[in-house]
Amino acid sequence: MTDPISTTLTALAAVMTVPAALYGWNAARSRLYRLLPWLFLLFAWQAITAPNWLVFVVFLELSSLTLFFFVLSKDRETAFLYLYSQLAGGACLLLGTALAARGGALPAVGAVPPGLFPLFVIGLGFKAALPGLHFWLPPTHSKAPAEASALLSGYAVKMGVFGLMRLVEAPSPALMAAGVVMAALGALQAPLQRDAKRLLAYSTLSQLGFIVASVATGTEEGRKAALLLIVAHALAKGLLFLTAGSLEEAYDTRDLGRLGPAARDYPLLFGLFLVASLSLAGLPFTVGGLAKGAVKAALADHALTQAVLSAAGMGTTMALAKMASFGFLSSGQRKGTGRPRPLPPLAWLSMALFAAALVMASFAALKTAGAEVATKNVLVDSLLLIGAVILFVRLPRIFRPDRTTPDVADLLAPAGRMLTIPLSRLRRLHSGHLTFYLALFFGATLVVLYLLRP
Amino acid sequence: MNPVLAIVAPFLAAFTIPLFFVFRKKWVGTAVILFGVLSALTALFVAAGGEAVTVMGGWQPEVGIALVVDSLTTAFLILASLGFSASLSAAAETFGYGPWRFYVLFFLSWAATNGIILTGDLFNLFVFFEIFSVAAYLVVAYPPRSWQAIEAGFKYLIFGTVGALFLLIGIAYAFMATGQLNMAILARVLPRAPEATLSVVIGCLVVGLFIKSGTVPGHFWLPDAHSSAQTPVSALLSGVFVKVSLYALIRLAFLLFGSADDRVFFVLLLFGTVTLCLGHLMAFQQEDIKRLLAYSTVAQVGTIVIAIGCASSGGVTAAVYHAFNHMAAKMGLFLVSGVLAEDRASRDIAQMGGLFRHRPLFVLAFCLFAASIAGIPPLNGFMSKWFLLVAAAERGALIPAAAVVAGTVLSAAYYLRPITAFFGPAETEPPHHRPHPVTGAIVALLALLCLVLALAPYIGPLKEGLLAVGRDTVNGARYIERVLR
Repeated sequence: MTDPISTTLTALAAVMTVPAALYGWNAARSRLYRLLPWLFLLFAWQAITAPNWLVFVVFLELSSLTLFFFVLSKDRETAFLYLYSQLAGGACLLLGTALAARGGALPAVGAVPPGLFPLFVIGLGFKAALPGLHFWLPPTHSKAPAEASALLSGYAVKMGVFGLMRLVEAPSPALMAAGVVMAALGALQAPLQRDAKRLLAYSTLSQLGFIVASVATGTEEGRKAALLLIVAHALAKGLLFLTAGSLEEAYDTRDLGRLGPAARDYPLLFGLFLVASLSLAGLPFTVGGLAKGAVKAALADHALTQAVLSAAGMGTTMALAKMASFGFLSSGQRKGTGRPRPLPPLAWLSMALFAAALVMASFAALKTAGAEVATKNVLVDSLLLIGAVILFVRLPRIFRPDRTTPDVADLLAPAGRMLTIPLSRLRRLHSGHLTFYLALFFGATLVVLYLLRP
Repeated sequence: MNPVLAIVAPFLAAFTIPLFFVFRKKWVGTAVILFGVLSALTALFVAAGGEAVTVMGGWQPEVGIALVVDSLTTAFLILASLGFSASLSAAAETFGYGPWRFYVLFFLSWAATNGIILTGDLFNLFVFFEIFSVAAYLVVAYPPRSWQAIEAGFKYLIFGTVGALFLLIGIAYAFMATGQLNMAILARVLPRAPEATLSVVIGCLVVGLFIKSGTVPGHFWLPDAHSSAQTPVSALLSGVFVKVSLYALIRLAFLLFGSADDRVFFVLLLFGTVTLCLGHLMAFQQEDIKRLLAYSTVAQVGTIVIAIGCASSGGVTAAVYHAFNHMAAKMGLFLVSGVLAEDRASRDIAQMGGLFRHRPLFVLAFCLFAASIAGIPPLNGFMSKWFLLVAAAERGALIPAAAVVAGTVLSAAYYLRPITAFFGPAETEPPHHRPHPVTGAIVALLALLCLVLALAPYIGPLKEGLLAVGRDTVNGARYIERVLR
């Protein structure tokens, strides 16, 4: 299927993969690792252009698998969490596809029978990190290698959103609510993080909320706005993750409490960070700003949603201000040891590519949107942006990087412990007592005979 | 080729190997190899010969024993030949040719397996099941040195006997109600029996086959037998033995039980789902790698029983396809883990560190097989699960379908544990390093088979063959007509 959505996303996949592959080129453990981004690109292309849901699911799973190996190279536990969550999503989608294929051809990528809609939303929700199903996102994004985080946040989650775009053809209040919750949740969590990449991960969650809410309108306008925001967010977040990765590379830490005056050591890195941040925060005339304007225009009939999204936008700005302040501008003593390590030229090149893509996208978006749209809400948007920065400056105690915030992922460990109780009961059934086994078997025989009664 | 030869050839081996041992000790090895090749080739030729019906001794089907070759038989004959050949080669490498008694039992079980697959007579089916089981009990306990193996064999014996008892009761009632034992004739006359009799007959047969195939709650013998047996035997148990009982279940379900409307298939769906869930949940908690694989086999048996319970040609196709996939992958897994456990002199997963450095190719093959069993796309396990899902969806069996897809996540979780261990660091170097060229070659062939099976839906003849198995098997009238012509 080719239409503006798939064409744009196909191009975006390439634009995302090339810098990510360059960034990881030197750090790769072996040649096989260098191959991974390109495999991801191949699978992503197949998924985006898939004719039916089955092909889509298969290639979505394969793309997740390549990213799994990426994450595996750095952190095993996180990689497993990512794999299980993605397999669970794939399982729901596969079940939904099988049910939709009942008695006929494979269902084309598009709307599905109403009864299966929730199943598909849950399946895609694992990929797109809908609230509650987002438990894998913050740990995975923060602990993956930087280039993998860029691909994950910039593109992999968007493939789930792509599925939602195809799926939703009528307004869906439930999905819109999910989007609003995501946006608010991400915006609340992001400014409170102390891990730079975790902060960016929550900001991704928040931006995905914008996109999902826009998709949930079910209108063409909503989908177009979502697509623009996908592009804007992918490029900006890709660049941000690479700058965060470079900080880690240089100072050996992602902890905002320990990072020092990076802006002095690497002014260019700070410049790149600013380019991405300003677009992501929605500065007027950037592609991010235009995309957010388009989303708000698409949501014109939903005043409450709009209000929450505006507030969430301020949260994003505060989070980025925090990263700038503590990651680049902090005057306090850096507590790491030794001088910062120099960054490899390929890292600079990849970040420059992202920045160039972002600037080009801004120009292209400005040209398409026209002066009238671009200048429509300049005043309000600028005020929101400045207001957020002022809030950040005036409330330093809230944003001090010395706290951790609770999240759904914290529930995983207790839930796992709870599950071991019934599991151990089950194991105790297999105690080796032959009499018990035979009694159980004869009991089951009676059940079978009862079920077969005439 | 006359189908009876597929039964005679392994029997011949079983009866002549002792003679070789008595008169020409040096020839035992050669004889085992030649008989193995002969048995496999005969079965394959019978399978390739296409549909055929032979009634032994030239009697009428009511009296004589009919041997029937149709597409389902063909599929399982091929499966059995592949499985037995692979296991025989591995056994020859592991044991050498000294223990001739083992090979006698091995060929006996092979002959009985082919008999179960080929026979068209219900009592004959029982007889072959008994030969097969007696050989299996002993093979599991072989070599009779470790008490675990003997205990496992004993447990298998008790359960197997109870299962055989139920089979026998079912067959006896069927005979009392109709006076017939030929399956084709029974399929015609059994529905006329009183409803209550029919229920008891079907109930007894189903329950008996549950034990033989390792369906919950008749599965208690399976983990012990699989984990205590020697590696080639474990591979054979999981790859072929449980499949034979599932073959019987498929055959009887559509020929004899089809008349008892949906109740039988509901029972199959119910117990299949329970088996699947229990197998996965138990595999999740194992520390012993072979027990993990054994419980995974329980789960896969559940998957196949669910596929049969879908009561459609699509379901049978999925069941047969999955049986092949499971045979290829699980035999591979058992062979690889046997070699690795021998290197470490332990089956404990926690002890399996550093084996990737030690035997990289074996570990990579393990990963491939595990991914295939777990159903990671686009491997063969995924393909057959998809066939199954479609069949289950058409049947409206939502919960079994959901259990199957949930099983993917769980199996990924428990297979990642040994894999993580293999790639992890080792505290000590593995103490043993015996070369395993034959096992290595078999593992490579099984890996290749997995890849070919993954492509099966895209290879015209294979796809057509799989679909034909489903179509022909569900159509009981066709079978009856061919036998009674």
